[in-house]
Amino acid sequence: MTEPSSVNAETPTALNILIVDDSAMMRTMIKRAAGLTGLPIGQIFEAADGQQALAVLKQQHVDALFTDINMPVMTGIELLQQIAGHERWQHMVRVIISTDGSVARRDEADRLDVRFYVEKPFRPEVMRDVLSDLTVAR
Amino acid sequence: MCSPISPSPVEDRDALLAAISDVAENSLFAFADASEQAAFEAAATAPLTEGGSDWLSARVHFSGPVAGRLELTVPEPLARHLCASFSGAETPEEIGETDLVDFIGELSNMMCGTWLTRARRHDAFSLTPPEVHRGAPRGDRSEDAELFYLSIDEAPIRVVVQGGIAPPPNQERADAR
Repeated sequence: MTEPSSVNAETPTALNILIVDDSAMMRTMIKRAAGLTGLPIGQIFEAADGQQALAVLKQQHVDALFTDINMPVMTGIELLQQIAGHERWQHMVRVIISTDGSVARRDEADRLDVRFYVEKPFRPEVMRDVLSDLTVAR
Repeated sequence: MCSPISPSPVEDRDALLAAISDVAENSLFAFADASEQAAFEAAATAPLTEGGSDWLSARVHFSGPVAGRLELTVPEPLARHLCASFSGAETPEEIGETDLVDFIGELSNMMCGTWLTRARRHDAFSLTPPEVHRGAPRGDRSEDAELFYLSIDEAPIRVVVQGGIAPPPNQERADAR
């Protein structure tokens, strides 16, 4: 797992992203932050919990998953456990966006192939740095 | 991971203020500061005809190495102002009730999570979905509740914490990483 680095200017291809958070306002804020990056974003899908996210993942091509942890029905950690090891999602980048920045939770995320861990609150520039790293890495 | 502790008062007021300042500055482009109970109560009891307003409260329960709840109470005009900053809305008036309630819940979630992360960096925790209440600020008679009076952009707010953060088991653990 890495921290997002500064923006790289290479030209990437568009990313389809899935935002999973039980707060509609937070999903809106993340979408807005993604839009402000100026980086090529393809489709943006949304889900209010892990179970909804799984349904989206089974039907759509998603390059990057941005998920909260504490959500009703199915948490972000449970979602990541569900998709772990599946070939279909092997190359999908996992990003956690959560208020829980504890070492224990970060260690757990490491074991679930999470590439970036973003702590709420975050400034929009953080989203730019994450997406920039993702697009360049593809 | 969960260790039984008797509810204890928040030991570090500065940690809570730092967490709230972090949320205010990084997500809301606002400024948080310590304030007085009198300022909050004067605002809370002011009639609508004399500059008073409606209020919103959001409560979130936390569990993990410690358990308790955090409740945030803010005047509606401040809630709308902060929600507009957060969402990019052009004016506070265009924000609908559903979005406002969702935002206040998320704000309490961010404050609680940021505070817990600062206070117990090594331990994961869980938060319940926020419960949001609209109406005049309610008194809190819980014996172990700590009331904190703060301001955001000079508007009074109140944060109630019940339960709270016990000291880390030992300092060596914190220094180990």
